[in-house]
Amino acid sequence: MKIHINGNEYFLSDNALSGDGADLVKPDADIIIHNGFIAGKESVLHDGDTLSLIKRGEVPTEEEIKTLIYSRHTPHVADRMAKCRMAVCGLGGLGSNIALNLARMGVGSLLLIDFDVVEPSNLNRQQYYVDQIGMKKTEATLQNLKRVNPYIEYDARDLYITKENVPGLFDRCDVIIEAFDSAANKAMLIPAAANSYPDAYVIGASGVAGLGSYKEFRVVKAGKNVHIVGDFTSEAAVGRGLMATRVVIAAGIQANLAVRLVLGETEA
Amino acid sequence: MKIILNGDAVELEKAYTISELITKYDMKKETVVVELNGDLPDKATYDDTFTREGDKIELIRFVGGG
Repeated sequence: MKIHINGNEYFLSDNALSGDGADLVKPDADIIIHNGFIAGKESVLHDGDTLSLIKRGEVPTEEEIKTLIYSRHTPHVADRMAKCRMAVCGLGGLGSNIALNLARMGVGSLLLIDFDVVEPSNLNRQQYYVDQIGMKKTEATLQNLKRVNPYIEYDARDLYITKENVPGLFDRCDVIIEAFDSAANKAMLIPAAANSYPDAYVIGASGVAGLGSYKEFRVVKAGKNVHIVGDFTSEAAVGRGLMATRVVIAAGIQANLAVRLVLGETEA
Repeated sequence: MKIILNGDAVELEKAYTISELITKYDMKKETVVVELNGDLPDKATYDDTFTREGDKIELIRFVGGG
């Protein structure tokens, strides 16, 4: 039977175990991951399975890293992600965290759009660092995402999105994620993107401020291709801040939904 | 006329434009996305699209923060 081990194909006998694959390719491996699960040496292999063999502390070759990044992914998810293009509109509390998640998922092509620069007040929730204060958010995001996953395609644009520039902006995108701060910009982008790109999924957010319970979050479906995440009432306002622990939950729901929809799931 | 507004049956005394309906429910056109019978009409049409008997309308409110 054919087994993929650290990105290459090997033929093993029909009753082989994960340990047999390890003995063949990397006998000193101390982490053996079988189809996304750390399984040890006794896991029964089946034709088409994937084994990842890692020696703790060793830096693998670049070719090996490209596949080992996804060794804890559920089988076939990385292959599907690699074929996707997703847009993240706004690289603030929602968008910088969504983009990081999607880079880790291995989305093949990421379109990253923002017009702003990193400020100290961003650091309580956004994926930036003190040494990036003053940098363009597109540039800082690229810098961070390339440290996580340099093996996908990035298309960063320093741009203010308006209703006028939506047509043509999201060509070939499977998913368009609204991650703006301003309510009016959210309400502008969502119908404009949904109508210009009826074959794409559009995922927005509304109501992520404060420290309310995760139970307040819900996902509302609108039109044929739009999902909106949030509690729809918690507005950023005097006395109600925007903080990592809650904003990141919403970002996670948006990113997870993007992945689920592309994989063919229909429920949020 | 009867419409379904955000899931509830509502009796309107006359036909409203989408913009008027948004104002009637204390929302702002700039921060609302309207779903009309399963579509998301362009915001530019809110001023001259009138409600019709049996319409299913969702007024989705957007608040700032992200």
